[in-house]
Amino acid sequence: MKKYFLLSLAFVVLSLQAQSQKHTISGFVQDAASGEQLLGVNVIWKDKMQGTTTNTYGFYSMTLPEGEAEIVFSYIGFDKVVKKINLQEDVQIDIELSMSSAEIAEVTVVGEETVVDRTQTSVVEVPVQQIKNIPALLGEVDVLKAIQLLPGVQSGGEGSSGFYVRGGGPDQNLILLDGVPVYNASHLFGFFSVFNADAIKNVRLTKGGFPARYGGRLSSVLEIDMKEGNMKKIEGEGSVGIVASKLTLQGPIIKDKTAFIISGRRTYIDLLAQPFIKSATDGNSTGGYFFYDLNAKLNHKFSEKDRLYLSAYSGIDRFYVRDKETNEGYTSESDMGLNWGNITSALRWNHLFSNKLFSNTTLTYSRYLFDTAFEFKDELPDGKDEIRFRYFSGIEDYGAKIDFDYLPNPNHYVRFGLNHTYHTFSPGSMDIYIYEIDSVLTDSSFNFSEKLYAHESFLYIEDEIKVNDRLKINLGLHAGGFYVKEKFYQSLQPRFSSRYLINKDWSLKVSYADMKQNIHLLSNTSAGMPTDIWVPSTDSVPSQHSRQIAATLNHNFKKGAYEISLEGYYKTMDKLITLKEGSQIIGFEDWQTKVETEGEGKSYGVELFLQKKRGKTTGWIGYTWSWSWRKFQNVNLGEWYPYKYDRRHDFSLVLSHKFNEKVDIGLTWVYGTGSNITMMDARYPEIDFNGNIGVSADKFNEIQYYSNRNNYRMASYHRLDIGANFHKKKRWGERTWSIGAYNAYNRKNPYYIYFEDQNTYNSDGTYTSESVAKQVSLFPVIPSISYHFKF
Amino acid sequence: MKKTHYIIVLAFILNSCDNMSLTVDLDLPPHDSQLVVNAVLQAGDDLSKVYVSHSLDPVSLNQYTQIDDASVVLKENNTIIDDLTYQQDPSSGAENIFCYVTEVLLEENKSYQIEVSHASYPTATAQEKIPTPVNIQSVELGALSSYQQACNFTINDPAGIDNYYLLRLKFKEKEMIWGEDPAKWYGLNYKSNEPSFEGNDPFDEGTQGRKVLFNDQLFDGTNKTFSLNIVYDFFNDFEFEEEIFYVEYEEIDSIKVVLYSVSEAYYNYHQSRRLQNQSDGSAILGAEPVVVYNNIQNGFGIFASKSKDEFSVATE
Repeated sequence: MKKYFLLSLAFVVLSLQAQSQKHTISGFVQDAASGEQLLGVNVIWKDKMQGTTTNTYGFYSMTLPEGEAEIVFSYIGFDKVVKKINLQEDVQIDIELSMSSAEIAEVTVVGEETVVDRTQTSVVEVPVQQIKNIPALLGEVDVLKAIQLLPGVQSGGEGSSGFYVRGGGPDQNLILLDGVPVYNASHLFGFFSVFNADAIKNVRLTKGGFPARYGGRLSSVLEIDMKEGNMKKIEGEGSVGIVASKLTLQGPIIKDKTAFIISGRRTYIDLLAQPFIKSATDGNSTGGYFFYDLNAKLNHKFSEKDRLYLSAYSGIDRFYVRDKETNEGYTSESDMGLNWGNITSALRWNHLFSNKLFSNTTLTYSRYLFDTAFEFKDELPDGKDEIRFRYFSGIEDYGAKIDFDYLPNPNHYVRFGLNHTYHTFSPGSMDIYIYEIDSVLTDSSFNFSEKLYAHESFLYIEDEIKVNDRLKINLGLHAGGFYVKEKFYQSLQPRFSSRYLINKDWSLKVSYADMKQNIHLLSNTSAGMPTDIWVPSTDSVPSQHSRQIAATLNHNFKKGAYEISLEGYYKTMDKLITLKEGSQIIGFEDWQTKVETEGEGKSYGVELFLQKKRGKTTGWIGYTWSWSWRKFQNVNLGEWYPYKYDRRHDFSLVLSHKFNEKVDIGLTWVYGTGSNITMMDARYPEIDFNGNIGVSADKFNEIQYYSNRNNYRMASYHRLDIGANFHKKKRWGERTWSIGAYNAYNRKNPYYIYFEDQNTYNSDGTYTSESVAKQVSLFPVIPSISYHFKF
Repeated sequence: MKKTHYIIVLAFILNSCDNMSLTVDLDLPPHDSQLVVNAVLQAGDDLSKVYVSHSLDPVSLNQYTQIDDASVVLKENNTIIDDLTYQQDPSSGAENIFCYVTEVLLEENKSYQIEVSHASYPTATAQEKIPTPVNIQSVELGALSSYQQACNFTINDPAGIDNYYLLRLKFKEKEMIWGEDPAKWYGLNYKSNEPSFEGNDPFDEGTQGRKVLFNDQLFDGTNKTFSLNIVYDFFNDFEFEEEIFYVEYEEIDSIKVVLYSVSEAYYNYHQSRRLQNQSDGSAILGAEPVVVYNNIQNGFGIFASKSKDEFSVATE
């Protein structure tokens, strides 16, 4: 199969040579109001109805025959621009599109080419404005929770921002912020994601049909692009909510040349609680929890051909408790802290080599660190006692990549590039220092698992080929290599997708993607805990691998106001890893001794996605009917078992309605088949190695009988969230009051189940005991209110 | 929006707040109790016995009862060869432990079926083949040093079949100790870097010396020598629980290597049982509960088998 791909690519390259008497029109398309580059703008040569779309950086290029041509630039939600040109030589035409005045009155979901036109399958773009309209837990707008509402994507559990795509695990999602991997995308044990919606421009999720430019994860790629900064004028927005406040500023440093954006968010429960804690402890103690996010970006346009971006993100969660007590001649101090967080940064250079060749060169840095420490110090008259403890784990990446877009003619869009990342994995280390009276008793570092260093590289080439007016195909090859501890894993991963246009409103697509994954997450839970550790493939832990086919039928109707797609997929996975039965992450053994390898997985299902993109009411309905299975030789006695997130039915309804300029409302209703858990079916006596019945304290030792892993489905999950926004224009800008309710009808959704012995006392002083199963829910109805401003 | 709309929304939310408790009792489907059959067949003179009991609902606080009126028959080639008798467990010190015992001498490399029937439960069945023991070819003791002594033994692992083993080391003293018969063998502790042993120690029976359950995946079909290091620090027999006794090397008469060839069912049961006991089963943060191997049709428990080979050497 790989041979055929190579031959096809060679054919493509040769065919590109046969061009003559043609000229190229190219340029950038941007938003007239802010100067932000627009991604996915349709650029159509009207005479032949041939065209292309702008890339992530707003660049387009089209090669046409000499002579007169009419070019249409269109983007949903913006006024169309038509340019008539007499093409006698290569030209660069930069375009500014303005928000459609007709559509400002109602709501328009801006977006790129329609689902019918696009060649790729399994891609969803969620406009940030729509994400902001979705009612959120405690009013905190959350990108990842919006992603969970899409078909094929499931949440990790009540309140969790973790997501699971088409039966894949949480580590099988590549989350990119401005092209840089983010390794732990959640705050507060998964209840909030790290992405501040005010600083975000685009959110795009790819669930299958991966083009060759993507790699490194089996199940999805979530690309989140930060805003670039307004090139025209200073703008600001912010909010004050129940748990956090946000402020974003952006604007030109040099008009139309250099722009900046800076955005921050911080929770403040710790600040509010401070006086109460101090008062309760006579000022001796303090403590609390907070998280913050800081996004910043600079972009500078050197010329029409060169543009430089510098972006950075830093986010930290911190729990802390401090205590200090002083008595006669004696001082006792303690300081405990639990910190975790990400830092990412990217330096990106867009360069136009020619009007047909665009390049993007990026240097990246990403670090995730979990760090817990405590310190006790007693100052005594005759000396001091001191204990210091620190445990930390994490991952750090340095990366460089270069990507090229080459557009030789309207029938080809070639992308190629290479990427290299240097990973440092720290799966768990501990420092202990003990000082007593006048001497050091212990001062040691323990590395349960040694640090591992890995080089990961890939190169790719893909071509989107317009075979004729109806058929487009995307052929690609992704070649990857991973080097760790003298072990080298290499792979050739063929990719294919095609689109057949039945008519202008209907299309049929199929895709195939072969994916490899060399870094893995070890986790005991679905909650996205900071203690989860990232580890590489090694000589004893091979690369994970998947193959996925998908087919989709797409339809536009009501002049593009509605889009519907019906998609089926089948995915197989092999060489999966999981923790061995009975193992836990935190422990004194090397992680490699706790991992079960060579696992298999399969998932399949059907997804329905109906979107309404224009009008006073917008939103979508998503429905997924799916299965997901796992098999490991030493788990569940080697038998196939349903994956924890095997959810038969998953339904979401997301609606926004704009009554007028002053009031709009949002509503979300989700329904999902209950999650799987492993639940005891029965108990019975055991025997020991000698074949004798085991007895202790006059009771038989017993075995807990579970028919199989994930044998019990909890009750179905459903929830209604509602919210309303009240806008008012002010002299200085606009203010909005938002109110909402999470879990509006107070559904007691199951979070986990446990058994408890209960005693009922009788009037005569005796009691009867019974054991009962208890279901615990996490969130009742939670109202929220927040104040937003924009100037 | 009209005021009435706000009032409706507010009333809706307030009405939803009527019961804010986040923990509710859950009605689980009741468990239909089934027979529990636990047995390890042994070839030759070693006693084979069957414990018969019943399963309980996870939420039941009842105690297990031993079933004394079941019909327990042993079959070979689907022909009944013995109707087992109910009696006090000869290997248990407790007076209230009973089991069904067979008088038939069972043979290696033969398959047996068991059928347990009772009026109140579905009939439980299982079948098992007693493995052929793998012989110990030699045992060599090394020099004594710091209360430790090397002990190497060799076996010829049969090729092409999955073999499962349980290893014990025992010692016998020259003189009678603690009022015991001097012929009694006591369990010994030992260390080893043998990769097949890794992580395979049982969790609960260290009081009788170390036992390791392992398989031949890493040495299938080879002449395999195991290198052990006997640790003469203590042993702790049941009769002397919770006290530490140092073994005086000079008083040891001989060392015995006991190698049980166990069936796949025996191996799977005890490995999964060990893992279940290791996992804490915590609802949110702990490891996933472990499914324990069960080969009883229409019931629970284990019908397993083992055979053994022993090799003893004098210490001098």
